[in-house]
Amino acid sequence: MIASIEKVQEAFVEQNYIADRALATTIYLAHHLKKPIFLEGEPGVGKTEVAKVLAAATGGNLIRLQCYEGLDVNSALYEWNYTKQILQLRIDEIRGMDKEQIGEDIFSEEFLLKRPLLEAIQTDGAAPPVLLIDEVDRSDSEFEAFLLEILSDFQITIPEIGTISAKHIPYVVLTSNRTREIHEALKRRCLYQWIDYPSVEKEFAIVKTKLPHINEMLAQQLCSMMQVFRQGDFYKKPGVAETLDWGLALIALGKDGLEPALVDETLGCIFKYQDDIERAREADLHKMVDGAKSESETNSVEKVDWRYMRG
Amino acid sequence: MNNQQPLFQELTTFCRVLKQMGVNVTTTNQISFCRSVELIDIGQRQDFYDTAKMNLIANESDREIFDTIFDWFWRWPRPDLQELGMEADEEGDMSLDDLLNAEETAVNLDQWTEMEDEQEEGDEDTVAYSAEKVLTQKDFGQFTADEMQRAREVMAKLVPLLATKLSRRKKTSTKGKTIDFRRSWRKNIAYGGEPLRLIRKRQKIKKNKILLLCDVSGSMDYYSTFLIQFIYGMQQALEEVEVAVFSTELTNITGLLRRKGLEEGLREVAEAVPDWSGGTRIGESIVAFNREFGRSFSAYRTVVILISDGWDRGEADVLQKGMEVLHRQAYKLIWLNPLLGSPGYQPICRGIRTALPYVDYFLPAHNLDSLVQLTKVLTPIWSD
Repeated sequence: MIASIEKVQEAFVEQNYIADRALATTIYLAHHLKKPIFLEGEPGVGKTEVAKVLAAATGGNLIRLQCYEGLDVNSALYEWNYTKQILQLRIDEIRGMDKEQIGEDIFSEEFLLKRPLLEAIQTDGAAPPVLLIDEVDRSDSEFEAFLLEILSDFQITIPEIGTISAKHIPYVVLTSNRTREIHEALKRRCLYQWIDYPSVEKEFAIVKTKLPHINEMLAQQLCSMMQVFRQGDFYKKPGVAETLDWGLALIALGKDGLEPALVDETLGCIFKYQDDIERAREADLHKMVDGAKSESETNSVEKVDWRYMRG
Repeated sequence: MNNQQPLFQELTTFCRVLKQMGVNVTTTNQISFCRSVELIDIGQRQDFYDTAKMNLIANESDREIFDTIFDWFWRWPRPDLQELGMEADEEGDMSLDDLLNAEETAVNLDQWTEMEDEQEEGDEDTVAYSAEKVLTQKDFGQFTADEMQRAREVMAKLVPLLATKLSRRKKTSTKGKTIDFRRSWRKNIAYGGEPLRLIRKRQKIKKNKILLLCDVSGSMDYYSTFLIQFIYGMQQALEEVEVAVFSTELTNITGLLRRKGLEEGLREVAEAVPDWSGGTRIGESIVAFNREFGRSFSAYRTVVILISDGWDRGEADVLQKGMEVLHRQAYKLIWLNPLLGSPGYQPICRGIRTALPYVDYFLPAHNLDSLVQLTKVLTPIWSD
């Protein structure tokens, strides 16, 4: 699947994911250089999805580590199963086993609780697993430093067992919503890719792929309208996820074209803050809808090949 | 391989140019870039561009400069390197301005760093305590070059003290809901492995974060240099501190300060910030600030420190809306105003009057004493 950049793009299309050429190049190079990918961008532009699709396309396991404030090594790497160890200890004692044997017994892999990072290193399927380290900006900087270590040599030392090295170097995808700045040292270990809001052509391709039943004209108007909204000054600009939500809602309502009243009623699909909804209402919806409509008529969206667009 | 030699030389030169322009390209990045180039068809300009970008920059904010250099460097015929001063390494960094013949920006900060370079060696040990005492109450705006240096020394001593005061109280308690098996077992070895005493751990409380929004417009020149320095010191000690500066436009300089250290960082800030010492548009900057840092408000308990004298040339209702949102999102909003230190000061200018209802603390920030006062306000916020 990863023989060339084009192959990557094709494989992603098969999985219903529209990857532009820059992203495909990143994945192609990540595979050949065995480097992690660092995806940064606004929420709702499909960063997490990249890892899922990559796993589906390569046939590897998807292992997900969701980061959060206070995430520590014990919940990311491994932990001993203490309860089980204590029980085993009791049984062994009653049996009169000798001390050394007990020690060996309870500190074996059987008593190890594997957390995502260890799992990713130990997986031995046919294809390398995909390790998704999601929203790394939510973890704290100590954890970042630890990640740096793991990602540079893909081996883990457990004092009681020894060093475990990766059988396959996993694909690693890190994502960040930029709630805080990630240390550059970590980012510089990775191939860095900024994922922007899609261009109207790309978004149209996404909508057509994800919502195959959508009316062509509606899809075009929808995408043009989203471009208009994203130019506005909103607290949370709508992402691709919102476009698809909105599209679904409009299909469910049986509509095949945008009207100002309709947009007004369904603003809740697009904006998630009351302030934003009000601001959208304050703006001239009539004008915006008309603008989007004429935009979608003049631009025959389909003819442009989104795969070669920058960004 | 041999006939590729010139290409690799070019790639290396390209990396060097980027480095000189302040993009922090590491050797590993360079190697990875060269290896990547072998894997792609470099006849495809777009692929080559993508490859270079993903290997050599690690911040979207570096993209603009990257694009400029990329377009210039990989152009045929390219202007002679020597003409552009590439060989002039020993003469120090050339600025992008020189390269692109952009208009010169006013950089007051430069004068400040020069003063510091020129400062006479002066015996540090004889700085008497009383001298410091006088300094702590003197207005930053009235400092001589010599005093500035002393003030910096005092501040360097002050900051770690203040910062530990803030961070020490964050320790988690040993009471809590979940059992810490690892520690419990360790503890109970003494009782022969019998789990007699359980150690519990409490969920970590939401972390605190300081967001600093600093006015660097003309009227704030003297003060902002000091205040950024103060906050930079805190950033060193506390980690979760982010810094943005504004006068007419907002720029996030956290990464820059962290990467380059204070002095070089500030010098670059002065270059990077398009309007250092320009006019002020507080309202627009706060709106931009809300947008840029909006998401971190939900992830952290955020204390926003706004440093400005309140002279605003923007529109009042923009400022009001921005402050309203900021007030709602932030855990505490502190406004530091250097003018508050001058006797008889009344908050009459329009910017301040608009913003004041949304501010939790309105404090002076004109001398070292007032910074101590700031910490007194911060400590209880930080530890509860």
